[in-house]
Amino acid sequence: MTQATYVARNTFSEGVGVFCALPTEDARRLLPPHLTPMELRHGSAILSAAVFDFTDGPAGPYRELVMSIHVAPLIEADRALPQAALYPFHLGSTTLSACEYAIDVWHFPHWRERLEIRLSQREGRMEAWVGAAGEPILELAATGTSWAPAAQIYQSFMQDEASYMTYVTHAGELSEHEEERGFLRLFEHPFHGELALSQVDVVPFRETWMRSGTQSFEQARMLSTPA
Amino acid sequence: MDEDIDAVVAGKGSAAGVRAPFDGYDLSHFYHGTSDDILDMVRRFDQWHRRAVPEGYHLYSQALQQGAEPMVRVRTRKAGKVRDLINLSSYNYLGIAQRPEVRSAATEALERYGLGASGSPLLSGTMDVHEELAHELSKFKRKRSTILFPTGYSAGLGFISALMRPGDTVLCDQYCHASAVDGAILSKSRTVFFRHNDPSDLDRRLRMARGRKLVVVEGVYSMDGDLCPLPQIVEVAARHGARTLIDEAHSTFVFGEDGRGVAEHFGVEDEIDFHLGTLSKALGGQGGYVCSTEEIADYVTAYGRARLFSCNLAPPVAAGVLAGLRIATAEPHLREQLWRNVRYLRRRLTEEAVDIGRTASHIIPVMVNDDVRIFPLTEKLQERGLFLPPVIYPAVSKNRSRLRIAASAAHTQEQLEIAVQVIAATLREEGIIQE
Repeated sequence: MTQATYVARNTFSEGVGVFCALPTEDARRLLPPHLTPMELRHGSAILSAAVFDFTDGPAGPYRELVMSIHVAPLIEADRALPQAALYPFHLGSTTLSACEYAIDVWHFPHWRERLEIRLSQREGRMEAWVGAAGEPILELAATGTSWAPAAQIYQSFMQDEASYMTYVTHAGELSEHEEERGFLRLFEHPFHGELALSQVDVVPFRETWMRSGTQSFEQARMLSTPA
Repeated sequence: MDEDIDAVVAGKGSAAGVRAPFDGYDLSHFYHGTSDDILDMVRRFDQWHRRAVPEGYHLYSQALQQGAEPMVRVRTRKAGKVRDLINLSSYNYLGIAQRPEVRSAATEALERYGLGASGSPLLSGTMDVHEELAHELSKFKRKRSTILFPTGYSAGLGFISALMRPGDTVLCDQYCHASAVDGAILSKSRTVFFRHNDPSDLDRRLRMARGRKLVVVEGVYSMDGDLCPLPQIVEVAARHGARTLIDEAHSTFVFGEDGRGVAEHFGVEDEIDFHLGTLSKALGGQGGYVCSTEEIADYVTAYGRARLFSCNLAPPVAAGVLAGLRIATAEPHLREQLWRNVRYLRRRLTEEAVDIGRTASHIIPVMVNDDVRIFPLTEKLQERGLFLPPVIYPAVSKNRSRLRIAASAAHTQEQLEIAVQVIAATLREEGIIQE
């Protein structure tokens, strides 16, 4: 197996994510044609909304919202199978430097204005409010259960004029469960683009919360798949 | 942490301090991937599975050396040793599978008909014993007609795919059995899942549903042992003009005054269109059936490909199940004995502070809620005399792993008490029960 070579590393104090079902045909509309949505069950694909509070990294401290569709991973002969594969279809950050960095270096589709991201934690629950110019974009909540150190490898697919893929590793203290105690509320806002908000489940089937973590990127590589 | 990350990324498995059971993978990871060769994923699975077996996957597919009785002789996969264990895992809810009348009926049928039906039910595979079984099932369920299937799985698959078409909508409870889900997929209908036991979510989804609509629920859900809130579900379905199918695989012969299931228990039998059941649970045989009307039976006979293109139930099985059906209907004390055992188990487990989830039935989950620790725990239980394989993600939600007890009328109170004591002591040792 090939040893990973990281080219960028962010540290974060909190990374909270909710996984919700949405119709597979809706997920397909958000994906480039070479990617296939993973299904939670027949006809139901997986949308994740994740908020990070980055404390340090190449773009400095900032907060970020990542909206992704889970896709089938690429099986590569010399690499371990990733724990998941994602296509982040829209990101937003609290600083313009983070926005430029995400677009220029990582080819992420990114909201070009500054977002406002508020995090509040109480009684084992983390809530996030995300908006722009005072208008709400989404609210989410995830709860923590048992915590344990974890390191998880993801494939992230990106697309601008070309198609790219990179490996991302998240490591830190993780709580992960499927007890359906959180929520995801999406508000009408241009940020959501083509996403059919009413079709996304309000109650996440899975909640993840990572604390005191690192997010490590390998070099993005261009895929031969036509864009 | 860097060292840990590098180890995991390099595929070296569990690094020090990093929680990575089975190298951080489970069955959900090997289902869908992109590559040029079908075998790429198979090889990845094989590499993982070979490592997972010594860590706990040896607890699956262990061969019983006899029938599914309360005590079973099992050849353990890990040590290859034969052990006598208290069986808390088999269905056989009424303890009928081993009854002498059932064995005799099956043996006589073997003498009379031979081993198999040797044909599709539509052509040469229907024998008088099949007709008799279908007739008696109709009588028992108080329905006009019954159609038999070779397995419970093929009943769900075959019935739904026979009736539903592209443009229709099948609305399944999210915890419905794979046979119903696969039937819906095969029919090319739109398959919609509503939140478990949530009539308001069903209502919301029915408002958006297109075409002809079928709502599918179960009487007793097999992983949690909870019941369907049938009166509310039936009301919502009727309000939207949807037909309703209930899968009473686990509840027939167990619920209702006469054992007809959860629909009888709630008094809504006539409001449900299709009553599906199996012959492998309470009757301890094999096969499936759907009770409804003659029109439906005739239509599904013509279009139910899972039945049409299968050999009919083996006649010895049909005859054995028919004998079992007669016992189940003539001996209500078996059901009463099952419920005495259920009450005893639930009471004693609760007294011992064992979490039994939301069960309201004879399926009693012992909640472990830890997908890692459940394997050594199960191994200990086996070493201490219990046959109770673990149920983990993705069969149930992540970290909602459990040991699923299937109570039987054939268990003695002494066996159940031993089981309770072994389970409680082991859960305490493992820190699952905290004083």
